[in-house]
Amino acid sequence: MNDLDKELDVSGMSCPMPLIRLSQAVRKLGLGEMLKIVGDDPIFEQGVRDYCGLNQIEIISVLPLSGRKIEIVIKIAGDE
Amino acid sequence: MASEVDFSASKNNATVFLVSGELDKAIAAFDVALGFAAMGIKVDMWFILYGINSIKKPRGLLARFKHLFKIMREMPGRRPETDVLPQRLIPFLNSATNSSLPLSQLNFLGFGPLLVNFVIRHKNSPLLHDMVKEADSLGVNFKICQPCIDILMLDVEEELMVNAEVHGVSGYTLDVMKSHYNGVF
Repeated sequence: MNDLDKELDVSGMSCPMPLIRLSQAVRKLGLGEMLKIVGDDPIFEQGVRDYCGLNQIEIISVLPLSGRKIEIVIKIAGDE
Repeated sequence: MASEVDFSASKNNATVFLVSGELDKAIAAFDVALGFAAMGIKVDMWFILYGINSIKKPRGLLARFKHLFKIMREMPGRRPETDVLPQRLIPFLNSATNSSLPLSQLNFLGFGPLLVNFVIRHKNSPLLHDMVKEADSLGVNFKICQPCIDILMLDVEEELMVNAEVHGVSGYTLDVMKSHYNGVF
């Protein structure tokens, strides 16, 4: 996971702020770029999955960290 | 990559969104939801803020005091570590349940709902309590907004009459986009 293009930490934020920050970050990314997002909202993972399913974004990995934190790496679909 | 969300079944989904904690609006919302469910349409009911009161278990007059001293544990959709002390006043003051919702008009300090429920019972219409049970048996999906249960300090497993899922705004948008009907009460 060295080819991350951007990292985003939304720990401590509550719904719907993680979704809004994710959306803002994804808009700045190009095709094929990857983003790591970390959050600790109880429905954070579900929200990211919903967003990615609707916007054709690929989920590369979902990694639970300590506590409630979850780290998700996503990739904008399409070739570079 | 194709979109994972399937919008093809749009005629067979309905979403009912209940914000208000008042008896008339709750009856209207459950009426619509039950109608759709009875017609064989998949219904998702969303509850936010005071709307959650309409599916809370009835409880005694003194039960509100236990919220002041309740020990918070890990619950679905809750983040107890971010709770603050004055927050305990919210479940203490917001004590209406399924059996004690006020009316938006003609409430008369609680006598209005008694009158309305008396007439409803006399006409053999379902009370709100029966409507929730019927909706549950017809397979209506109950979904609750996560920030609301965090703010209102709601225990989803113990305080509700029905099994409800905890979701965020992203789940609501997906449900609405799949649905042919979206009613906000």
